[in-house]
Amino acid sequence: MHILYFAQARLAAGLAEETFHTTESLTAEKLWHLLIHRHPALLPLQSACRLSKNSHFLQIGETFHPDDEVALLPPVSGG
Amino acid sequence: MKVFVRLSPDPIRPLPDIADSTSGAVVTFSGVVRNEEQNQPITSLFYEAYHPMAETLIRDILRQLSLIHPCSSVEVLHRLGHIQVGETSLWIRVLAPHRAEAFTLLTHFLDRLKQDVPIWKTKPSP
Repeated sequence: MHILYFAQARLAAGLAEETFHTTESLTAEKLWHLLIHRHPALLPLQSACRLSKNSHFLQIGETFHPDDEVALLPPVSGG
Repeated sequence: MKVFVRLSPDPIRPLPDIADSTSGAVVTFSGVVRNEEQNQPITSLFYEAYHPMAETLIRDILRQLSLIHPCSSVEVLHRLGHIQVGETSLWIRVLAPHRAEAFTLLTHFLDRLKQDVPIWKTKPSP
């Protein structure tokens, strides 16, 4: 699973992307648990960040698969 | 509706005029970096995007809005990277038969851009 970190999430994790090795599908909750365990500074961002899966916002009930691209999307501020 | 979207680190240069005899309204918007952010003085901002998703979402949003507010074309240029105060970060041009649709689509698009499209601005580290 390839993880992308943007803006405040990138600053909190200390990196822009990483590969996360897993052989099983993960719920959003489980993924957050694993990512926060790896990067504790992400915890304050969990409630504000949206997750995407392969460039689409994660839908309710969707899970992540081992070959997915996942992005942590803090509140946006373009323009 | 014709849609053109470009996210690029290059300085924004307005696109050439379009010859379209069906459009009575041409509305152009420029977003410019101000000299303060969250009440703190700044000299520049850093813009980043989840590029493929941002571009896809911009097109999706414009497609949805055009069903309600029919326009002829929309062009969106968003600059990324370090942008100095006074420089343009966003340029949009909307063509429509009448001004009401053009202004309304532009306003709603800007709202959605700032709500959903994965583009972020951050203050550069000191």
